[in-house]
Amino acid sequence: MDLAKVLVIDDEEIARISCQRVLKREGIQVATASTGREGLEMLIREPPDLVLVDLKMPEMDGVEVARRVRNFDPNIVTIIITGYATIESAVAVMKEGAYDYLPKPFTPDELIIVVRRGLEKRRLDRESRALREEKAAMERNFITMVTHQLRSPMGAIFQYLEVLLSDIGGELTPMQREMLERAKERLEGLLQLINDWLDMSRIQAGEILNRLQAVPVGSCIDAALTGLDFTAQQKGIKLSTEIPPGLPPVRVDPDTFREVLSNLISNAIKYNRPDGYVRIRASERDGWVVVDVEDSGLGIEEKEIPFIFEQFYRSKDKEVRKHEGTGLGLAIVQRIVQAHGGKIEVKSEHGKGSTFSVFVNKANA
Amino acid sequence: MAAKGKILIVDDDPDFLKTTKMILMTDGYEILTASDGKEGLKVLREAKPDLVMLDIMMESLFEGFSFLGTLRTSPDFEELKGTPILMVSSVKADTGSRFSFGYEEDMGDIPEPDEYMDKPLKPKELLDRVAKLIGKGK
Repeated sequence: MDLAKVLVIDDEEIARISCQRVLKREGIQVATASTGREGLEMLIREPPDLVLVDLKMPEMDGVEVARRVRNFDPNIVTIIITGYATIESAVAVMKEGAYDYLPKPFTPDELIIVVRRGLEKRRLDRESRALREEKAAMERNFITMVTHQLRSPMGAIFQYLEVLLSDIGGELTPMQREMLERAKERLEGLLQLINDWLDMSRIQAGEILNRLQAVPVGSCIDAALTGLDFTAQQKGIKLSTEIPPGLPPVRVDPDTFREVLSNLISNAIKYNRPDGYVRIRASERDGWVVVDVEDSGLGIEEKEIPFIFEQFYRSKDKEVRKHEGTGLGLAIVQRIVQAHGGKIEVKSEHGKGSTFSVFVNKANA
Repeated sequence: MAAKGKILIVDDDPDFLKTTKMILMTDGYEILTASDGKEGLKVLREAKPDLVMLDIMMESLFEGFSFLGTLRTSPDFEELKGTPILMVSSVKADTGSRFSFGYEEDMGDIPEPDEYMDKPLKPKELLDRVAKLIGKGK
């Protein structure tokens, strides 16, 4: 470890020299200054670990020096040397952030004890700060780590299953196929859970507000449909989009707003009947721009509607339960929409279908 | 039998290389592979594939992007710079959405791939996209 650095500020030469001599013997690097101003200049050029400062000096006294040291770097430990060892003066300097005080006259041992204690405090502060920083960095990296370290191997497993199920590795018996299908479904559920979980942790209202920009609704819908058009086609579901000409652009964060729409559209496809439809309509209503996602699917029972936006809530409906789901999708949707200053409404008839309506602000010209 | 097209897959995950290769080969494509960007560029120059499938996260975080940048802008690749690129990553949306959905103002100087897909790849969807990209390139 580097030598500890102490700065002694005292207008009396004898005090400076004796402090320096005592501390040097202890293996401490010492610098000295004869006025508060000179001391502060030295401190800025080369910050010490600890400052020993005399309380009573002409021009700038020890209280003022302690205050300025604290303003410059609150982690530097300040110890006041005082000839007036009164309670009042001690309280005054401690209020200015001094760590300790040393009454004059003092013996070399007293000086060493006080300085050592101050340096120990400095070391502990440093360590705990380093630990806090490390923890914050770990939290920041966690999302990236989970994304890559967890998704990559699961993706590789998933792709093996896909290849086997396509009979590329040889023809499967019906029993093998069924088991692999089931393994794939479970894995799909797990991947979805990780995605949703990451989304949930990424949504921070303040950040969304910072990223708001004017975007045409059409491009948001197109972006949301990427990949989903294929899924719909696979399931034989008819997707249609209706955007009236002249619709004003919306004020949204493109990334998370796309997430909202793709979540709703993917639900509409997933919980639909064979040969059903999903209609996406944009319009202007009551000063909002509204995107309706209407499906011909299973619908939601009225008594369940108040709960569907809750985290981890899943419908009790057996038909719904047939599909893997994390119970996070709509919670994410609602969080994002609210962070945009918008709202979401649902109309649904059990057995017939649902319409989710997202209300967002128009971009002001 | 003449191959439907020549595809170079650049990915550092051997399991993805293997399964992706199997999907595409079974559909009649000729496949070349490389496990990092440097090797990828070398194979690209020698074999002149019809399509490159590129993983974003190879050894260093943005090796995929630097591969793309080199291909699109370096004079050494003048002749090949129009080769369609299908970018692939398991880092869903985080990196993908920055370039895949056409919000030009966000883009900065990062060149855009022609198409983007999330890992894991579904065989049918992959074949569908690959066929379209190769069709477009010709």
